[in-house]
Amino acid sequence: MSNVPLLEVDDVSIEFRTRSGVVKALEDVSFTVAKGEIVGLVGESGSGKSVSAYAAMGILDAAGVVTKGRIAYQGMAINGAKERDLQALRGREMSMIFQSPRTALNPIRTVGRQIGDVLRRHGGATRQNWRERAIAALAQVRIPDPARRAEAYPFELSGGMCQRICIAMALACEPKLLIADEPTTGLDVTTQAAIMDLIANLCRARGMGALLITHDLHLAAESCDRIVVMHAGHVVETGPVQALFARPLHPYTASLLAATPSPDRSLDDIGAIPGNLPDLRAPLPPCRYRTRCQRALEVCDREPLPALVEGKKEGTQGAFGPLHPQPTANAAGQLRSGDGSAVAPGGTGGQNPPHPNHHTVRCWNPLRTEEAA
Amino acid sequence: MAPLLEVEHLTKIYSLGGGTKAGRWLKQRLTNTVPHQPRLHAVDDVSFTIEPGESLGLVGESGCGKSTLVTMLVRLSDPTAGVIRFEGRDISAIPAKRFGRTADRGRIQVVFQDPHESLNPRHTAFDVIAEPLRRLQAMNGKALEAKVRETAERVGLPDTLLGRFPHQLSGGQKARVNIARAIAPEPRLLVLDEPTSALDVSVQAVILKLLDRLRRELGMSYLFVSHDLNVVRLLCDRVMVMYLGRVAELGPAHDVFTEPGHPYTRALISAIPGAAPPGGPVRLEGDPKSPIDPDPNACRFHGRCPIGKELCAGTAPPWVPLGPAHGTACHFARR
Repeated sequence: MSNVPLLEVDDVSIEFRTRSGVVKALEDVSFTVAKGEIVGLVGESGSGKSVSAYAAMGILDAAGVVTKGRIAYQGMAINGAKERDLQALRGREMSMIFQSPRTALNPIRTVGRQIGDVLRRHGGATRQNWRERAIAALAQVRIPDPARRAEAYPFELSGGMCQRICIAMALACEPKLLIADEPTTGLDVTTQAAIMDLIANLCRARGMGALLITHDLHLAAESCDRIVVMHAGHVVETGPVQALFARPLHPYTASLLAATPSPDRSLDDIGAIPGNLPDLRAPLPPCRYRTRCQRALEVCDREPLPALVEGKKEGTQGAFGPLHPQPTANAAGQLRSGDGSAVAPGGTGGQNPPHPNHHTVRCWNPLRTEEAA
Repeated sequence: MAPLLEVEHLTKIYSLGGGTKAGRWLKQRLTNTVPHQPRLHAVDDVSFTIEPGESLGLVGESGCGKSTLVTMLVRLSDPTAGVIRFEGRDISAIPAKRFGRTADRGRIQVVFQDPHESLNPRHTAFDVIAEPLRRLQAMNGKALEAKVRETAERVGLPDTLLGRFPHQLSGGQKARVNIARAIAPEPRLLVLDEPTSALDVSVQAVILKLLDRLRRELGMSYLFVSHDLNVVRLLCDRVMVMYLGRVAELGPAHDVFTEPGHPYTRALISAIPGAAPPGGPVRLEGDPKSPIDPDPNACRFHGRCPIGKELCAGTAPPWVPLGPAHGTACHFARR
């Protein structure tokens, strides 16, 4: 396998043209998903997580327009591709678990048939064997008594059960890329653990890549390899999971972490994030976190967002180096390494996005090591 | 001090299938046998108390009877057997249909799950908060308006938002309207059914702090239903763990989380993302048994339990005290 990532979202901006104005839903968003890794996309609702996923699947609403950048699946462009080509990809190559399982299922078809439909369209199942393959898919997501459940209609099943049906459907054709939009919200912790184990096993065993959209930071920390933090349509921070959670660089990531209840925190220790997401229809400052940020500098109002990368290479975490400011920050605001020394060996610098394992942040005043601790 | 709420041997059984009442009667007369009717044990012999000003957490998987228990406690459905005593009065004898007109309706209030869907889309925030005051306390005019404004202020809802409809409010604001609606009639017991599960973490923190403050200011008791154990730990003094209609474990929150006695509680705690349980993660296989006609002489957790033995299949576990206020229903409880 060459080093072409499974999914590449490069400098993408998306607008929605609505009656009440143009919503700048995404701006300069870049991230990649490689084979066998789970990438977590985290942020508040309205931060553009689902829009990114829809764009990656090529199923944006008609009002949504990709105004800039490139989305590619294994090197093949998704934006601008023909619908027929996309249909060949969906299901077999990439598939998606949607939010709200009840509305994602067809209410007047039994769940076994719905999974069978997917298998016959994309998975090469025949008239003879689709039923047993659908039942096997149900068994894989630990649905008890799958043969009986396959005959049930969605309304006869609980929310958690419908959720697992959607997951079974997405995994039925063994996709290479799985996009999971809040796959475990509303599930019990025990079922959630089982589902996440299943996804992690598939990634390990088959080299499936997964993009996990969630607002549960603990879940992301436990199951993902890398994290992409979004806020109001911007990617504000990306990095390997341990580094990002141990030393968040962006003030938004830090406050998200501080707001999350955890076993060793009391109610006084958790802090809320002041303010709300900005209105994406109005003219926006270069940094969309500006109004909620307590570390804002005067430069934040003036200059476009910088792209910074953690100063040291991987493996030298003890000696956390200084952040290198991007010297040419106005060049499309693309996430780039600051200077050659910070790029992983082989990186050409300048042209390519940073090495995926680097910890990058887009902020003029990121948290330094001593503050993050 | 007497407990605010005392629940004794509360049971809810739903009869399933078997056709109509007349059909069953006819069949019985014709065949001269009593036809077996499957019975679903949603809540089975549950007893606990809530002290004034106390916050009790109720956790368990979906389908374990949490919601059935809650609907009985707030008297929206009638128990099959058992007693609910509220401030010393037996309220389980009043049919659910009539309870809405008693004074206790205002003293037991619920904050429902999902603030996005539990508000009437055609009511403004003001109407939503005013509704229980109009109905239960026959307030109107100036007094009503003053009370609504006071309640809104208490939950941190700006005055200017009172005229808005739900679709014009954010998730956090809707949650505040819901809480204001519930506390307007000044309840003694507030039942919170997953109040923050539909909210973002950033908003969740604010709402949890608000709930904690309200409890101290107004001296209410909480029954906090949730499956987010991290949230339960933050807000609750005691925790009750339910499994398949039965109480699996009940005790002070700190003790239950640090020294769980029941294997199910251990599995639940170990499934919390980010938690590092003592003794490594415990993963449960399969799903709970069916709540229909459960074997009365077996542990409900048997078959899924990592330490289950033959004894568990033949004898229902007794209640094993683990501390002054801590106990569990398990033969092999860790003491």
